[in-house]
Amino acid sequence: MEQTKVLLCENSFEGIMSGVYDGWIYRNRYGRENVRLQCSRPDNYNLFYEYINLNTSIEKAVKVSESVKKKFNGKVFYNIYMTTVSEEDDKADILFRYIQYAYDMGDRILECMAIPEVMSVTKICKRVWFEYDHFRGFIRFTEMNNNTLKAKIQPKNDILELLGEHFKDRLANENFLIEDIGRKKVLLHKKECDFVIYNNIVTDNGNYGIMSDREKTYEDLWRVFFDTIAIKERNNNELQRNNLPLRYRKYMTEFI
Amino acid sequence: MEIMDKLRILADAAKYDVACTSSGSSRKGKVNNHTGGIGNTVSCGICHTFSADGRCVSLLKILMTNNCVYDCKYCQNRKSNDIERAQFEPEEICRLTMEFYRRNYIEGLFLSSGIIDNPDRTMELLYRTIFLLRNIYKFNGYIHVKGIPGASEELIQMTGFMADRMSVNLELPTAEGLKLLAPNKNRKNIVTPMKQIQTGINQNRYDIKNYNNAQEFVPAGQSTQMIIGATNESDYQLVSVSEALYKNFQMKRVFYSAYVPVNEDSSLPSLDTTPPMLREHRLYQADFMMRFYGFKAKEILSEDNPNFNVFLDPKCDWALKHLERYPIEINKADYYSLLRIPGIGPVSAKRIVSARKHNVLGFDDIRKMGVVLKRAVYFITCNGKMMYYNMKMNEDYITRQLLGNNNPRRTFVEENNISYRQLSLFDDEQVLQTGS
Repeated sequence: MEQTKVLLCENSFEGIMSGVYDGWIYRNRYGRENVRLQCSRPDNYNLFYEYINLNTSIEKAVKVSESVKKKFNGKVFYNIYMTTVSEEDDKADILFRYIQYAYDMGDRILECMAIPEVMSVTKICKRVWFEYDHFRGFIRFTEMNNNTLKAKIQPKNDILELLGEHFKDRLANENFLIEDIGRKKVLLHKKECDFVIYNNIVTDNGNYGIMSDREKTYEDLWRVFFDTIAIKERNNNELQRNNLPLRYRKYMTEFI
Repeated sequence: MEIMDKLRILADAAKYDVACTSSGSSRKGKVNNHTGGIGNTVSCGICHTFSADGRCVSLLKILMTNNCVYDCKYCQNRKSNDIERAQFEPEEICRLTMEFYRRNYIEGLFLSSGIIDNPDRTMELLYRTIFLLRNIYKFNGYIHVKGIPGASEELIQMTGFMADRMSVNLELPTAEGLKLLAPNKNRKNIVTPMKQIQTGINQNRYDIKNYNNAQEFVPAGQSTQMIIGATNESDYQLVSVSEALYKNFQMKRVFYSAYVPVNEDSSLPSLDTTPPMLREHRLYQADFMMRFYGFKAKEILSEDNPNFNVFLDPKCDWALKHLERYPIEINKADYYSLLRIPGIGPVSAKRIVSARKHNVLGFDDIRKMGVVLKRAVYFITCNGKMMYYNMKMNEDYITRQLLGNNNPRRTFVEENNISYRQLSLFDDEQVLQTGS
């Protein structure tokens, strides 16, 4: 029996895509079931597996993603992207298999829920999208004294880039930064420009800079509005908690 | 007066308005536009927070003023009430909206108003505010404005070109109720702007198709709302009214607001009545059945049976009265029959229709697709079989099962006197008895 090859790639969209490219070569050589792709350091090394480190190559990543974009329905690429930013440990291997199925069967992959990998990709995408959608609404900016807007988030999935796309369009004429506290990533957006994401930024949990003078006023106004708009006779904390789970409230102005 | 007090008074005055959605309009932001500008809209709408009553807050919902010359009995802002009054300046509203929007507190503005002097003057103030917000402050987000009944056609038309959604409140479902509780309003004045907005939207659809620079008119459509439980209409009347609204005025939504007693009056329910929340809930269920499930109002309720079942949702209720149509075969039935099964909604029905092209579906498969088997199991067969063989096509039996939250498998076990428990070495009574 052929020894299982575990390919270790970087945990990022580019890393996984270039991993898929290299994985394909190993797959042709050793067979489908003998190659696994993994994007996190294994907790436990298996004695009978061979571990191979892959280097991320943007060129390879572009080749794979362009090919996926060209050959399949846009939804397939969307699914792949959403899965790469998810918190799932196993995502690289699921995607590696998902892409192989896609090349086998084409666009039909979007309907074939009977295949476990397709089902899990669909579920992961949905989870990521829900979190993105929640943060689109629940993220709160504070105005700093240099007129920059600053926001802190702590999402489960790495949705910073998705949020960037959303707010780039919405707040095109603002300088803003969003900080992912858990992942130590910061997204910077300059007025009328595209945004940039910096990795491994240590910022003391986002406690820096000075709030602008009027910031306090608007926060208070918002709290007053938030408290007044509820109808006392219809109080329903359970419904509120279902719709707005506690983990989102950590950085929300009206709950601080 | 401080802006803080104004906001408190005027948000409090607006809180009974229910239509706080930001959906239906999709507009890109003005990226790299040197003239400035802020905001976009997303077609599915975004909820920005949820207030203590669990309702979504997506728009800054305020009144322009709670000074009102009308004396509607159900309204807390009526002329004869002794309450704090306030009025926003258009600039104040614009600044609040802009600053809240930048901080991502809100998705846009919901602007309504009490009647100052006369409808025209009120509508003009609303128009001026929206105009400022769109053109001077360059706000490109979502705006929902109330159409004031009795305001002139031109004002409503001009406002419509700047708003995303407009709504005229029906207030009360029947003309008699309106006459009784809102003596200054009449049905004709309410219906006229509704019709005008509807015609405007249809006309605009044609314009957009044919002219490059046509401006959008109320792109997110119009909605309306009515108060439930202030007068004594039957549920059948309410459902028929909203069906007519959807059909004749192409409403995007009809909202129902459970009456919260704020005033004391001989023609109103007493002050200690609780808001009829369950009735409101059933109405929304019926509303969705009409909009997405292809039900007609007279199918849901009728003259002989004018009120909702308190215990069962309207769809289960309908299914129980039409047991001759069931069970429905999942692998064969068309989309609209699938929709009539309790526990199956548009999403799962679509999934079933597309998935059964590839293979025959069983109960496990449809459960994964999101079918609520707890309810659906009494009404369906998969591949010719029902899920448990002891199930009866009998109204009493199914009602009992649905209400008692009974698991059919458990009833099966109980009915046949099967019992089971974990084997244990030590606490078997028999062993203990013989041992001692």
